[in-house]
Amino acid sequence: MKAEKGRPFLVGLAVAIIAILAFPCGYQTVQAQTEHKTVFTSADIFITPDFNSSIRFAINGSCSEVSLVNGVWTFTNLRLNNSQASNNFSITAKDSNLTIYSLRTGDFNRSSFLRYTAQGEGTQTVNLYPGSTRQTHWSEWSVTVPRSGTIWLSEGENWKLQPDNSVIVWGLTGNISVVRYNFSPSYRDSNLPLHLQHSIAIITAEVLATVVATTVIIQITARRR
Amino acid sequence: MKIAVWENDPYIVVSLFVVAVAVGVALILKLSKDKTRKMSNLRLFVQCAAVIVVFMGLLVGPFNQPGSLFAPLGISPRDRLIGADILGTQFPDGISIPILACYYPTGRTVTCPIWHLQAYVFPFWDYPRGYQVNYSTLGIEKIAITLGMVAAAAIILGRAFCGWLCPFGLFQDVLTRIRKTARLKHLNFSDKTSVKLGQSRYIIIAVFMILSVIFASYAIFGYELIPGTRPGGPEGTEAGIVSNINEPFCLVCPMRPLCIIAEVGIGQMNWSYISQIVYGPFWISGFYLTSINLIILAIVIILSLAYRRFWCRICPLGALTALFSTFTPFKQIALTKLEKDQQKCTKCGVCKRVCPTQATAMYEKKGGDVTESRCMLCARCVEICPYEGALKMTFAGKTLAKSRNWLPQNKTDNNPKTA
Repeated sequence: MKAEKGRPFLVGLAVAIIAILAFPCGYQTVQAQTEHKTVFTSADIFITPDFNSSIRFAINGSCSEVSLVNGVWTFTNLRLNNSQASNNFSITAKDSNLTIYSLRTGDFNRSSFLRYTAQGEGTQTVNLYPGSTRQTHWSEWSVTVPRSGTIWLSEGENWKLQPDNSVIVWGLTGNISVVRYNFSPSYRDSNLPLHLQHSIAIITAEVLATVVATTVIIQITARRR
Repeated sequence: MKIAVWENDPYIVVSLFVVAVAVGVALILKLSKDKTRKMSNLRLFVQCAAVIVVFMGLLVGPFNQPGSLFAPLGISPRDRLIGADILGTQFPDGISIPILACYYPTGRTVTCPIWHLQAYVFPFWDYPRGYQVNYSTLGIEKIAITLGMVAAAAIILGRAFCGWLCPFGLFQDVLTRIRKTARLKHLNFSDKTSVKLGQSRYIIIAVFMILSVIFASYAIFGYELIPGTRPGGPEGTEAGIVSNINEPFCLVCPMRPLCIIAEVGIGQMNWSYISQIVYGPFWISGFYLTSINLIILAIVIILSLAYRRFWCRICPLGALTALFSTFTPFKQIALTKLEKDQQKCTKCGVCKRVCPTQATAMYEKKGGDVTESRCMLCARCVEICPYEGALKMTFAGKTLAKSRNWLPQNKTDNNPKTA
């Protein structure tokens, strides 16, 4: 009898849960449909005739806006089909043809990267944080090329960081990775009380003090004997 | 299928291990009839058990799956650090134990303090890095924690860590046994050279700490004190963040190639991957192995075959442990000691002859605490001394082992002091 009474309630609860779970999916679909999207495939090429260069993506994708101003291609909300999230970035290529394989940009709290292949020893200017006011440090960045193992290029050697966070890469061909590691202090437990921020140091000091105190007591006791 | 289940369960593996060690110790104490070898046999067993503890990750997993971050390294986990949950982001590289528990091989449970001290010189270690290791404390704080852990350990056990627990000590002891099997005699340094070697350890540790700062200069100060010390490693590794010759002692330490070669030999590390992680001249820039490492390992093997425990005579980690256990003020509070009863000593000198590191205090000093910085508390002198109670190893004033009268009765009667 109790089970029969409870059944409508359980059915109602299940329907409600399904509805709650289904709602965001439908909402996202609707929202996505209303967004203006530029869809591109790996066959599409973004050409900069003045700079004798071209850019294409190895993976199909889409973006909400793409523009070419003074030779700078700027992509807004770009999402490659193999990427996790939308990305904003700008790129300039001179005397080189680029194929972009993967990227992650825009979030200072995570590592960002751009991996591409360059044909022609030209110059590429990559900005993974277009329009940002926060300045990054050279030590957060790396440019690597795979030549009999990964070669880690120092700043000044084929790449340089600009004040607007853009990275200029020159004189390289083949596969190139531009990576910014997240060195932001957000991982520090700065929001914790001081004793929790330094609990291991405090525990170590306590253990050491306990060991010393215990040994002193043992030695004194032994000498008295 | 069942094997796979218990292999991955650390509690079962550790429980079985503890039981096996307890049974092993009991059997050795019970069955060893030769009084002059009993302690050595026990020590060998404990050393082997310590190696298993240090590399317990090779047994307990979780084993790397294809596609995981460390899968290219091999099947075993990169590390399986004891107390990792407690240490958290403040000290995420494992507990510092004063033994050469090399940082580089897989499956490690504790960490060599020399690596800690060198690595934490770099300011980059204060920040999250390429492979999701986050550091929430400053380098200087981590260095203090390292020294605190080493000091506490050294006060409790002193250089018994070297004599009883260090994997590289075991390796040298095995070399000694090989030499003995070949019926070759060992060589001895002169007393003066032996003392100088002991002193050189402190110079070695100082030099390598200074080198750590010099090689990290680009990261610390923003300019290179030595050209060519900018970051040089592959992305996603700490070598990619810091200098390509960071942790300079690890570049010359013989333990690193020994561990890597051993793990490659037992199929736990992937040689083709290890050998390709080179980002510059191999002699210095191999991430897991360098030519310097290999050459020094070869030299140490040859010298360890000739001289007992050769590396222990110059080991900077042994020096660090000795610093916190055999020098004032730590000497006064050290718990593990070698003690001598002058009344029972006949100055026969057998203790001096059998000491693997050519320590002399137990022979030369008049009595009382005869622990010195070269002594690694292996208790070989204790077991070989034929005079009852002349030498003893104590812990917190309690006798752990003492010399036994193992000579035929008529010979001990010759002791003028006990007769």
